[in-house]
Amino acid sequence: MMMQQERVLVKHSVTGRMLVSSTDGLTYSFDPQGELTLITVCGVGAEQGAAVVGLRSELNVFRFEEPAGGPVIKHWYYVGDNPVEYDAASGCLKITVQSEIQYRPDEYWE
Amino acid sequence: MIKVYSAESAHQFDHGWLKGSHSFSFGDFYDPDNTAFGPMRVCNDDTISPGRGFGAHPHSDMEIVSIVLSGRLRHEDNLGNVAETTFGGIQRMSAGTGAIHTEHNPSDSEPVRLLQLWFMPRTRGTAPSYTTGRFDPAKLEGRLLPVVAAERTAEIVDIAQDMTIYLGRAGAGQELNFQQAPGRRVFIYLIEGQLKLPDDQVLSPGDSARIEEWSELLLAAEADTLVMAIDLP
Repeated sequence: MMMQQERVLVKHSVTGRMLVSSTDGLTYSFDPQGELTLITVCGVGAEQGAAVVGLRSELNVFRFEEPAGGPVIKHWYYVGDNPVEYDAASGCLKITVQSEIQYRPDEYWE
Repeated sequence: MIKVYSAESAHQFDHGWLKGSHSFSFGDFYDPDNTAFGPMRVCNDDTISPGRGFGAHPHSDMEIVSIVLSGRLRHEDNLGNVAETTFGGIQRMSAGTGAIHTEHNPSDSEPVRLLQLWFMPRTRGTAPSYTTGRFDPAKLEGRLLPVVAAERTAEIVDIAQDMTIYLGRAGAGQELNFQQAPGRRVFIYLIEGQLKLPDDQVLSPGDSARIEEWSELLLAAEADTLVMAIDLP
């Protein structure tokens, strides 16, 4: 379920183009499946969904925690060669990820 | 076949703190017909203002090479690596299953100019790694010096792809010779000077050439020249 002060982004890892952002009124969920996690984003248009699937081997998938007054915590998910599917009927994008790196940008040079 | 891309055709950008050009689709420049040359995906000629740079961001399944042409470039990553390089230094990050890094210009007075090059790796999903190396700039004179290749040596940084990056200098009237093996590609980027290709096309700074099916490449310097050549599968 969507939570306050949090967003999910899917970007093209080479060009940095934004492909999907939950701030566009989308809902999302994270479902652990053994060592993998299924990320489902619903409300995605057919063109957006096709673009993500077409770039499935070059995705940067993020979840940003943005607490009021606190540091941003970024979660980056590695997709690798796991399934990336889009169902036009439901408008849902399903991205299976295999690992996560959590980082705080303020702990690095910025 | 030799296809020349002029500096004017590359994506020139000026973000104030960051200026330069993208030879391939990158950032807000997207040309679906110019996304790759073999495994090569990115050739950015970046100049970063003093004290500025790229904050923490991720990469995966990409071999990323940074060649500093002037100034200093500082790298930090979540693997614990911290390094600074100047001209003669090479940074290579194998992003594999994921790495977070920053790159910035640590100088308070001098810009840093670097070439950043991205290549798809031979194998996806490997463990991330980072390394640096250093070549002797004096050895660039009159030859194409290998500085990045599949096999590491004292002066060559290793990369997880069947490829070699060369740098070379030539004075006006000098020639640089490169034998292209059958089925290979060569990417040439002119950093300084003027260089005539074997089909008589002339490269100026910022121009690049993508070459296939041309066995012997005679590169004739028409001015004092610094060039990068990359042999690719």
